[in-house]
Amino acid sequence: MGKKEFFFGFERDDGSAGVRNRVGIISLMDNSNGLALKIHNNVRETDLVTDLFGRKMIGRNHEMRMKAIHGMAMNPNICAVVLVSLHKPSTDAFAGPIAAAGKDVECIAFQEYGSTFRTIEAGTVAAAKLVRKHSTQHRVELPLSKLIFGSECGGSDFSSGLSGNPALGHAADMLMDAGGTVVLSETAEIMGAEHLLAERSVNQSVAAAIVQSIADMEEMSRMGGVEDIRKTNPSADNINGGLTTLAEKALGAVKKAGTKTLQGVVDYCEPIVPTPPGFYFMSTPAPACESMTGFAAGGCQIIGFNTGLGQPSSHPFTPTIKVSGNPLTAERGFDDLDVDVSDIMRGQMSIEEGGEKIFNELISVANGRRTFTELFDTGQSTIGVAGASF
Amino acid sequence: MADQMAEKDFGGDLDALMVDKKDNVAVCLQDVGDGTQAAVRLGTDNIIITSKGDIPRGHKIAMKDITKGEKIIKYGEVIGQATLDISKGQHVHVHNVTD
Repeated sequence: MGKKEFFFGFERDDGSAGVRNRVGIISLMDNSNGLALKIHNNVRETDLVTDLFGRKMIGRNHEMRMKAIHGMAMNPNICAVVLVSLHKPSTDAFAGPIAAAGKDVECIAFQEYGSTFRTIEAGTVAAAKLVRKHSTQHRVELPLSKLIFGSECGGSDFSSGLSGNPALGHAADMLMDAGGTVVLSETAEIMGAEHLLAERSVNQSVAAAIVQSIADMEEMSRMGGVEDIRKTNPSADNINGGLTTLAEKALGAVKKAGTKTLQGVVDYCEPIVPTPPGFYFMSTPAPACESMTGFAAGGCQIIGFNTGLGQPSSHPFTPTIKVSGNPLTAERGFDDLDVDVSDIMRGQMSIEEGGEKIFNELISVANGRRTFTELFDTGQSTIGVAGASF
Repeated sequence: MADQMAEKDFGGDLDALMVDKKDNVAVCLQDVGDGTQAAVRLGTDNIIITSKGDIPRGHKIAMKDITKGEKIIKYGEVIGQATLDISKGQHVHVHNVTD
């Protein structure tokens, strides 16, 4: 098989490329989640984003939320959006910038209808019309430089750092060699490896930014009542399990994003602008749903997710390829599992071979192959809350 | 939960795994007793190394002689440095490595 340099995706007016062509149903407030869910259930080829909160938020959390929702609406996998909310001021606040950026958007505000069922009906018809309108767009050949791939792990165990993460890292390197972009996240998880990422940075300002993002996370943890998270790592359990230093623990996670030069550090839910393409870091909370919501808002079209023990998370707008290197997780029937690399732990597959298997799946998924979590429709979007987790 | 793998032998004859060719340690996939001819996998190669002392599953074994002050390499990266001379086959952990 020849070297893969292209995939078949959906071209967007802003120059980005989707690997899906779906209508996003986005609930802007907790009180509208139920309405948005009903609309999503009524119309095929829609994907649902709900979240807690959304009313009367202030300061940093308000800003993060605005960025996250706008970013998810602009994700290239989404051809059009239906915004569902309590009232018109809230839908309009988001719809203006989305429409200005050239994306089809419909607003469904409950108070305009004054009825749960009339709201659902209006949203259902609006979503169906958008799906129908965009369903004639077809896939075209596009360069892999259009892909932004989020590298994630969760439900980690003994197998993660030894098999799945290095294999995912090899796939990440293959994508970057072909001109693509890879994003690492979860600031708390890289604590202890920041000096290595700083050394791998393209310039001093990127090096300073990666060190600063860790310092900010540590400061936020202190404000949240955790005196020194660095001192508690590696934990007694980690040491009993064989981890010796904090750098060792962090590198097991960092490994999943490959070995290339760090080109930039992006704030949570900020757009990832891949000029130049390559390796980027987004500063995010460590829980997987919050981290992957950052990826989706940043413009990632695909996520690779390595898990040791098994983990059900995926993002509704960004197909999430589940990988595991744990032979028992694979054998007991982890039904989200898209790529099984457990032969690495059996000594029957090299890390590079595992990486090639993941890369081939990545290209297939970019071309339209569905992941299990997409088919199960179990994705969950969660916008992080500053100070609530790290 | 993390110990589910300890309850079942999945690795066949494999005792340890090296992640990167630059590494000077491998990670044991099962408990390796003193004097074992341990089978270590690196890529598609198998390396046999004789253990010196008991090394628990999940812990590191030295793949070469490491002198005091030398860097410990895992994942192809520096994870710490030796506080003692470590000989090939010995257990590498908090007793002989620091940040």
